[in-house]
Amino acid sequence: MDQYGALIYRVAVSVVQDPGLAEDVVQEVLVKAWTSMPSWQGDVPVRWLRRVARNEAISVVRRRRRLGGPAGLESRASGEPDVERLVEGRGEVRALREALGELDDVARTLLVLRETEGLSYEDLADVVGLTPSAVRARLYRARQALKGRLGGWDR
Amino acid sequence: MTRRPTDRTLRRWLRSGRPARVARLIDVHPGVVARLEAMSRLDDETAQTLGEAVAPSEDFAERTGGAVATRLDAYRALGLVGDLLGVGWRTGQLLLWDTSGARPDEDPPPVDEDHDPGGG
Repeated sequence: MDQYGALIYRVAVSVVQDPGLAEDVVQEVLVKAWTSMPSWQGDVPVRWLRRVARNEAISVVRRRRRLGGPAGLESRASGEPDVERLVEGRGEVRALREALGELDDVARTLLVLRETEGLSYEDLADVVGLTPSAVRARLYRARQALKGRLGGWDR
Repeated sequence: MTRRPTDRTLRRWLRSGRPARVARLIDVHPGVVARLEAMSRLDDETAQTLGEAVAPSEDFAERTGGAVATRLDAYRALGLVGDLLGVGWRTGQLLLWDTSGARPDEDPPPVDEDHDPGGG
């Protein structure tokens, strides 16, 4: 938990955009990890965890959409943010969350994992299922989009 | 060999939704990666704010760790119940069926017809 919890949380929150749901995803992934440990053979645990975390988070978003609830990004964009977190957050953090919420989930995952976890392009490619070259291009585009939304786009 | 694009061209492609073209260029011109990196790098303050924006709450580890432990305990308890049911089933087999190991639906052992119990 101490070793991988925060990593799984970041992967999850970059997709679901809701701290409470992200924590649910962390629980699911850790329980799944414990109960399916034999299937890890031949894979690096942390890579397995990152992939499962993203897939589980995507499933949560799809389930919410099927049930007609707000689905992460849309909940932010449609004025239903996580009020508690927004009130607590500094202005810069709030602005950045809103800017992140306007990106697609792949761009968010790439940005978050590259900037906060320092993942390599190859590892990022493994998480989102793209080629390393495509990851580079998407990542640079995501950074520019984020800067643009934060008002720092260098034109 | 494609012509190396200018920074302005690269920037235009990145903004106009043609990342696949940039990805192909990255494969052909390794230097493009460094240029893209320099053009798009987030400043330290933004990167730090991003870290804060996606950080879990302070009591996250304790709370989530507790919830996971509870769920794993329930999982183990369920496994134990399964084991106990299995033991009960096997005990029932031993008590109700022939202890020789033959099941009730199996044919009886063959009778030796040459054997004469009366000795005649």
